[in-house]
Amino acid sequence: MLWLALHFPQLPIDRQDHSDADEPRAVVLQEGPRRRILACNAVATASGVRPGLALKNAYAIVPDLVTSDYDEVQQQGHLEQLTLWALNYSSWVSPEPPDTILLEVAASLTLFGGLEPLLEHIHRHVRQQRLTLSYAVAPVPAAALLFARAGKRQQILDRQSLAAKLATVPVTWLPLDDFTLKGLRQSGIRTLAELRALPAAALTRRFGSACTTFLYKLDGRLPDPRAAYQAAETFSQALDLPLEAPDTAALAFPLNRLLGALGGYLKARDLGVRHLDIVLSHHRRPDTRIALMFLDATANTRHLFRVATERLGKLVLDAPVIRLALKSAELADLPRQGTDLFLKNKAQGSTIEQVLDRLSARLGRGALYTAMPGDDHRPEKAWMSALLEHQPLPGLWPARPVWLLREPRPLNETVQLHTLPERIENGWWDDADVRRDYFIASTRDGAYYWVYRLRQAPGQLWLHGLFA
Amino acid sequence: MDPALDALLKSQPTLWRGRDRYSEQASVPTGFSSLDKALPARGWCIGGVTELLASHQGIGEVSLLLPALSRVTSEGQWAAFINPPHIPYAPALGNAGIRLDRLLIIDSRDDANTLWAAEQVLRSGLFASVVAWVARSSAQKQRRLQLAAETGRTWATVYRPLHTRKEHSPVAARMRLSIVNARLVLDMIKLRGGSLQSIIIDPAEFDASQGAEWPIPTAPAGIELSCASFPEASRPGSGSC
Repeated sequence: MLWLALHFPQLPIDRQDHSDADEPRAVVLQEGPRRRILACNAVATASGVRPGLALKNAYAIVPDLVTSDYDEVQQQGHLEQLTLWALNYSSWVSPEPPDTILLEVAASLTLFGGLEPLLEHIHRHVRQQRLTLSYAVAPVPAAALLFARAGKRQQILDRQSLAAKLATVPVTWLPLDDFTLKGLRQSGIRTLAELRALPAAALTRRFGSACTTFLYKLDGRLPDPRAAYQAAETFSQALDLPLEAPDTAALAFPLNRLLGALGGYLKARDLGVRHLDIVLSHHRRPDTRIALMFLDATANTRHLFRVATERLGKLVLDAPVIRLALKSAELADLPRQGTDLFLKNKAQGSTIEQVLDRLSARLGRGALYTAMPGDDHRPEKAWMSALLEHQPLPGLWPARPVWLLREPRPLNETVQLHTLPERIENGWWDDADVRRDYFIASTRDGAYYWVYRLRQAPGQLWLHGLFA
Repeated sequence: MDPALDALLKSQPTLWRGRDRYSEQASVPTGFSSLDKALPARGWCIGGVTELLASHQGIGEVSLLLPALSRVTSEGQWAAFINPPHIPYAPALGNAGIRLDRLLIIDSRDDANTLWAAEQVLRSGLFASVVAWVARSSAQKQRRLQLAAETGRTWATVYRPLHTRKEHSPVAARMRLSIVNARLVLDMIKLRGGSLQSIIIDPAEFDASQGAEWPIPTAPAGIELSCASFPEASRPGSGSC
């Protein structure tokens, strides 16, 4: 197994508005009575502000520092979206709150063609999303986490080099409580090698079993199982925009972020989306909902992005958008590419039944039928709409028009009658009593009609069919 | 054509000709020799949309498809009529040799549903022929149909009103149908890989395509009756059924 830890140290800052990046910004964490800097942007860092600094010290260095409070719920939301996105790269993703994701990548290396191309994929997305990333690769999850959180880009592929690398790690990197760290400092233990040289029993007696267990997990002597993230039944992710978006053009960037998460989700579920809802929330106004429907289920985020931006581009907003959400309304199996060389167009997977299902779902059951000749000579009865499985018995008829009008209508054009009357009378036994003389007639324009006159009222011609 | 060019083409049979690309295309024979000759694919183009713009209803605009539809359905392949303007009358279709249990009729009612259903059916690739009646469309929608026909490799026909001939439409072929001297005439408005010309459908072939005996006798050759005068005798049977 090979673990990749993705650590986003600046996540609360990175997810803020980027438009005024030249002012010093920091996110502040309240820890009991103390307030200290959790993350700060590049401008603040350049002035000397560091994460972990007390807020009052930070103000002393940069008086015009713009601060905001750390929002744990929001941070969880960010991390979940990143976790969903990470499903693009591995089926075994484990979020490590508050700011790190662990991916088991040994199985992904073949797919991506090695570790470097995989990291390149990840870097591209991270750059696009303007996130700060530090990562580490190690055969043990705890070690990958340790190096990533320490900001050391390590790529450790086997246990021997892991042991060598771990030996030089200062003990201050270890996620131990202040009391333990103080005890280690007072004992003169500075590196992990010195710590591991101590007998395990003595270590446990002195610093508690948590310290020993962690040490053992770090070099793989103890198993360290990680639960894989399980994708929910439906996809529903939202994000609050850092700044109100006055028009839809400003939504492209956050939309791309949500679609990244959707892409990972669909990959993990091995599904495509056929109906996706984009929900735009406004201040004190009903939400704007845009439904994207697809002919075939798709998991291609680039295609989704194109379609979504096209739809959003046409939209005129009544009010600024404060929140953007994506909800999957209908997920479906992806159409598979046929592997048979000779199975060309039929390989698109759907059968005639599926096509008919889709059609009747939208148009109604009664909208699909086949024409079937009945055995009655009255024109109204000589066609029937039949279910598809019926086998009609074709018989030969005299010349008949391709189109039959649903309702015969009086003909007020001048026409030329061509044939002798064909008398059709039938049906005295039911309501539709028909006694008519039919003719083929042509118009000035060269069209041919099927017309009749009633026996009882021969003055008026009725149009009943078109020789289309 | 330029005589020099003509001579060159005749002397160099290996010279590449633009239309060769299209003559390789799969097609369904139309059943009318004059039309087959004029179409670059030697029949209705498979994997493309043919737009038919008829001046009136009842001039034989649907009958034009019947021989090919008969061929396709009798092979057991599916065909679909989407949003036909009237009831497709089973006795007439049966006369023309169409297997009615292979002809799906879809009442989609409005243009939006018609275009949607046509795209679904075309893309599925399960239908050999799709015929749709569309009143209002746009270049973009027609292009979607053309792409769907290419994807599903389907012979697609779309009937549109005559006044849409001025609109741009990115389909494989567009033809205007009208009656001239009691004969059905096809004016090519657009033809990928073919030359724009007018084609007269042979009345004898046309009558034969109907399957049933056409009761109006064909006038002897050489006698041309004027349409306007409306003589008492029956007009030459042609652009009929």
